[in-house]
Amino acid sequence: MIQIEQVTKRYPAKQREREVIALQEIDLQIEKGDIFGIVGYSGAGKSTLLRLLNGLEKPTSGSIHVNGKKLAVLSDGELRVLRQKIGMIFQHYHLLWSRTVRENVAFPLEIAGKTKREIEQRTEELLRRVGLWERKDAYPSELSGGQKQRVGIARALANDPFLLLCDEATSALDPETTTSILQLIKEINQEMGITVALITHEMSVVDAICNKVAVMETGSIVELGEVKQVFREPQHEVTKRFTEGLGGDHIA
Amino acid sequence: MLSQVDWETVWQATLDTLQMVGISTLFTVLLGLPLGVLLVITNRGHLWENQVIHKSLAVVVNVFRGVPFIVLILLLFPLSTFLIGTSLGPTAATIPLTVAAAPFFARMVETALLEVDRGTLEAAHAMGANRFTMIRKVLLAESLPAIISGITVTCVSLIGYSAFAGIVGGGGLGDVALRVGFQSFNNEMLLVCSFILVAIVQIVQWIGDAISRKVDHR
Ligand SMILES: Nc1ncnc2c1ncn2[C@@H]1O[C@H](COP(=O)(O)OP(=O)(O)OP(=O)(O)O)[C@@H](O)[C@H]1O
Ligand SMILES: [Mg+2]
Repeated sequence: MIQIEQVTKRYPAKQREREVIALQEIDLQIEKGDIFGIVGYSGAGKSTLLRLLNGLEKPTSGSIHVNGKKLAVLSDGELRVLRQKIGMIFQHYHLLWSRTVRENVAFPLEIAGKTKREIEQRTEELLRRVGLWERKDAYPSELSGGQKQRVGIARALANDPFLLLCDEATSALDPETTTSILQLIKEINQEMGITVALITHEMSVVDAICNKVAVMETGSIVELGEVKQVFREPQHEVTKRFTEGLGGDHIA
Repeated sequence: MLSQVDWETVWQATLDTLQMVGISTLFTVLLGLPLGVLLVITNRGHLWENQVIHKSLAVVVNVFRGVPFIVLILLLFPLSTFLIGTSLGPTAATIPLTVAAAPFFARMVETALLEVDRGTLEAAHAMGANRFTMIRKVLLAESLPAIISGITVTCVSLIGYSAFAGIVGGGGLGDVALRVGFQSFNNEMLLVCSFILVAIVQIVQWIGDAISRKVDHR
């Protein structure tokens, strides 16, 4: 579903900063139905990699195919249409303060030009799905972090995406809420067949829901494979450090 | 008490002031809002980066804000003559008032829009929104409380400005306070006119605060 070939991303030097090589000759495939984990320390290039997938960033060189389409040749309009089919959720939710829960979920539907009736129906469906129908008229400022993320997820699912991008979606949440959000993501993956690409700092998140994982360090993927395999025999130093805390017993 | 007050004159002056302030606030917003939006979106790394437009606008805005208001009014009165054939009366005064206040308001709009979380903008971008939608439904919608506060501040300033503008030919409460009140030693007229000006400021502030609070859901 997603092919990344020899992708390099450089941020050119600015007045006082030097050039940054955020990604270096990345090769990566994500298959339909995967829950693909991307782990690595801060600054490793995880967000940059994720943002390439919906064209928020353009690679300096290399090619990216999503659903068989090469991103580089899409027009702005075509790219916007594609983005409507790729949901994204964020660590800090990025909901609109000025809109109620329901209006937030309606936003992507408005962007896709849906009718009022369709929007009404779809937002109800989605809010019931994430368990927030009772709070439909609340404003984000009145919700807990976990609830905000549920709104974020409902919003990301609004236009029936084939792919869900999660940039540290649980990093701001307590362990219990994290578990419930991860559970929701897993259900979405299984019930709706939506492929998931997810960034995290925590191996426990990978352990909980991912089937594949890529470990990144300073712009490169240093380890890649099936989660079970990588956990059983971590090769790279960074991977070992990440898996250390996990206690091997439940992995085998 | 207040035997020396010519209520008819006061009433007419109040209407003139309200007209000056009302029209100039309206046009200030119509002019300053797009100017503020342009200032923001043409900035580096923003929705419609364009350094030439950004820098030129910034210079224009700063020039207008740098010149003291009274001087600006005096300089701009000929513009009214040019545009509507006279520099006298409240309608003529709205032109210099608007030109003087719009850059001021544009800066406030700029500040308001810069407060909008870049993450929300990015979320909209990731949803496939076009620029126009991002400006309207994210930038402007999210900063509405701050923009309304900005309109309130601008309107209050325009009430003050309008008193000056009145003196140099616009009419209104400032003019009456000066000519009838101060220069003709009619202290009661001076007091009444001042009181009404203060009352108008107070009412505008109340209404502005109330609306701003109502739309603020943060
Ligand atoms: N717009 C940008 N301009 C310049 N440099 C950037 C930009 N975005 C990211 N970078 C740099 O690219 C590198 C990778 O950043 P990225 O955000 O992808 O890291 P990350 O792995 O997501 O880190 P974190 O875990 O802190 O979110 C960093 O060195 C960062 O400073
Ligand atoms: Mg990141």
